[in-house]
Amino acid sequence: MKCTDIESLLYDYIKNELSPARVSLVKRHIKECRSCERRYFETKGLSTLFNAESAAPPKKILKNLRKKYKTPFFPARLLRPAFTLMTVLMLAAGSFFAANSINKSKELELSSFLYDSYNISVEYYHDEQTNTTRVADFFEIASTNY
Amino acid sequence: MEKRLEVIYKENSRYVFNIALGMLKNRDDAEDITQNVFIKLFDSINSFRGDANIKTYLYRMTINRCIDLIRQRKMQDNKMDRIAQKNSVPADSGFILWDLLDKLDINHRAPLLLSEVGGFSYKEISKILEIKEGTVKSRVNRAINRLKDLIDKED
Ligand SMILES: [Zn+2]
Repeated sequence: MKCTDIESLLYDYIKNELSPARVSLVKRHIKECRSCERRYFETKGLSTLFNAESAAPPKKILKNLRKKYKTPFFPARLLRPAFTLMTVLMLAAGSFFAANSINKSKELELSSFLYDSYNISVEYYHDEQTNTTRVADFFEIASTNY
Repeated sequence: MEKRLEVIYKENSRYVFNIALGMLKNRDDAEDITQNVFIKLFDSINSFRGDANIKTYLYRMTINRCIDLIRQRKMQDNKMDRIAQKNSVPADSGFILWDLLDKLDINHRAPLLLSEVGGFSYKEISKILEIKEGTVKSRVNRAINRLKDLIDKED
């Protein structure tokens, strides 16, 4: 293999993108050829440069992301059993009320009785009122007759 | 933030940021793109199966957004370009490589950055950029050779 062929393989060699057969070919050549060895180190040096010149991203970005994707105080993992517990409690409460449904219908009876008696008394009051007017009218008529 | 998201950010943010920096040569733009690609990823994180898919998506989005921005910037007038360059990585800061990257075609710059900064294999890069593995190989090699030539000229 010529030096130019080797040179074209150097980056792939560094990147581990060559077949094992070619790897040993390049390896052997570099050992024996000074100029190809120099080129190999140059190419490798470029990678080092890339790493040396890389900069850390501004901390602001992580801060903004943390704010935007804030983990809730009660994460979903913890909330799920809490919801299950709540459902169980509500079901228990429901069956408790069902067991006391007799009391409940009695309560209803009482309240409808109270409502009815209130209505009756209101009606009665109105009747009384109209009656008083009628009495007053009577007096008015009587006084005019005077 | 959920631990899973923290881990994804810690494992990739440096690479994403530096790839964007290498593509754009502008810190503010690289910062914006880094934050935005992570937001885009985190918003749809539950639709991914496997870390490999997450990485492919993340880096593809990074490269695509950089290319979009480069095209957008090119369309803007020279005056706007000069304002944008205010926050560029300074040429005299010893960041020779970042400066030289500018002289590479974007189609060569992207696979080179994914290879060098991201440490991806040709196969992974071909997945990210949706091009053939052979194309990745030839582009990365051409980019490296061009960089070597440019460095030789600098010396
Ligand atoms: Zn040689």
